[in-house]
Amino acid sequence: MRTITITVAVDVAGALAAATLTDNLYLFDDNRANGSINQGTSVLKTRVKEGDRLLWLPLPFEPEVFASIHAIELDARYCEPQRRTYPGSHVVYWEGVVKQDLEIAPYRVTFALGDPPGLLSSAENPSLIGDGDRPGGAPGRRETAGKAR
Amino acid sequence: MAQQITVYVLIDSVAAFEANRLEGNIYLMDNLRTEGSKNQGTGQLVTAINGTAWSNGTQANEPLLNWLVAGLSSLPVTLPRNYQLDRSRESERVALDAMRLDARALKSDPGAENVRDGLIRAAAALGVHPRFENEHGELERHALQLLDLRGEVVPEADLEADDIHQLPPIITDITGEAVDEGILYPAQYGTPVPINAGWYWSATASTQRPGVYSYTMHIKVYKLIFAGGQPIWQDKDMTYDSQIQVRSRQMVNGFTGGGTGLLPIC
Amino acid sequence: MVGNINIAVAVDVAAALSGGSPDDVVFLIDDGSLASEGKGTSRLITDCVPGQLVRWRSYAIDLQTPVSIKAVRFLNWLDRGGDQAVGRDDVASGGPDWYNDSLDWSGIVPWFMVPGLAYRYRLTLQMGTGPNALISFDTAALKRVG
Repeated sequence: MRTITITVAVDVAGALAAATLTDNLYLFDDNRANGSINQGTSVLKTRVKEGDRLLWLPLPFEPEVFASIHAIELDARYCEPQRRTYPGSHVVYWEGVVKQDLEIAPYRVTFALGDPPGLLSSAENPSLIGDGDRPGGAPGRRETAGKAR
Repeated sequence: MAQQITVYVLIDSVAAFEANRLEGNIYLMDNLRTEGSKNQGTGQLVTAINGTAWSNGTQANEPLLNWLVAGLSSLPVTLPRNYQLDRSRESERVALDAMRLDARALKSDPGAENVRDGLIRAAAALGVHPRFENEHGELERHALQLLDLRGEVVPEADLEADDIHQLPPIITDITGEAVDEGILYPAQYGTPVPINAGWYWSATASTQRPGVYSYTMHIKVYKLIFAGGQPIWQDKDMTYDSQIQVRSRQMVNGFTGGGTGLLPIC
Repeated sequence: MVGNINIAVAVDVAAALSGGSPDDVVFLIDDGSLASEGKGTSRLITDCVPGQLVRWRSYAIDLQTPVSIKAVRFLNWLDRGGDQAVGRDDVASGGPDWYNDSLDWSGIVPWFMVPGLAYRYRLTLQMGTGPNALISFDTAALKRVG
């Protein structure tokens, strides 16, 4: 049962100019040692187990422009991220618990950017991964690649 | 005109500390992907320094680099300046007020168990100031209580939790080929921007000699360790090399494509 | 004795990228020794005399993002239909801001400007790359006074 941070970096000016998060979104987690892959891409795969607590933290390139994680959409069977605000600040982060072991659960990130804020969502999706059960709960053939140490 | 370049240095500080190296645990990005920088989000970033020069060879623009370091297991850098200090002080103020009230209540009724229990609870919720080794090699009390990644003070009983905000790494110097060759001129500056308690590294760039140059970041990485049950911020000094690619274009007149002429008015 | 004129084009890039109109996000200021009207707005009219060198430079108010002048084109005031721009043809957008930075937008006020007439120009700014990267306005002008 670990706490894992997922840092979501966004090139705000690039995303606003191009009207897309594609090529302007970079995700990182602090669980590479246990099997996360694709650090620094928009298709980060974070290795998780049931009970892990996940924190999505924002890293916008521009301190002067409004940029906030507006939504994280993920299969509720595996995780239901909740919006939180750091006490004494306006900075938003998202938090969720991994409800059951999973094989792969992609999710979509939506940012609110700019003044006035517009919404942009990721086109390619990061995921949670594990070597757990197949969706639906029935145990299935286990993948042998990428065993956690 | 000044061209601002920011290099974002993200470090998995816990992994780097344990592995004794930054390789594999450091990721770099900058704000110039569409201006020629390469390998965003990796440890092999090449930052584009795009210069312009007048026909007599003098530099026309003034590229300015800024480095922003963040730790993956740390609170977001976008939190207000002094956030951690404010949270630390707020928690102590609240605890002291509660304990003062409880102590007064006990004075008038020494047998009040609920008040006694309240006092014990308040004391247990008090945070902890780790120590760190200062420049004289002595252990000194850190100004900040331990916080967790949700911005809450960590009670003394929970010091082993794995969601503690790690002190982010800091850059202590910038050296290397680009500095030796007179391409980068680094210096440490104070800033109202809320990072690294207000200090950051910056450098001006000379663009008169195009080419690829490496530079070395000297980085101090922190990890919370326990010695005799006491929490201590231990640090390790490491280095990591990155690269800049300097290019230059000759200034030409926007209206004529050559030298200066009459404004093209009808 | 009149010297050169520097026209500073200051841009609130964050607001511009979020879809703000030039009236709200672009601020022009000149440093000429003659008068001008509309200082600090996108409707600056700069007084000038023949022979003066006028130079346009762009600045990002929020300093982090790049902004460059992609084009300055004087409108053909003879064309009653509206805005037929004259000057060098605009290159299709695709170059980075760096290419614009190597353009020196300066020129000499010609003697054949009719005194007292506001000669409007269309100024195009580029901020990064993409569909929202360009913003243009044609509400500023030069006016010959001497």
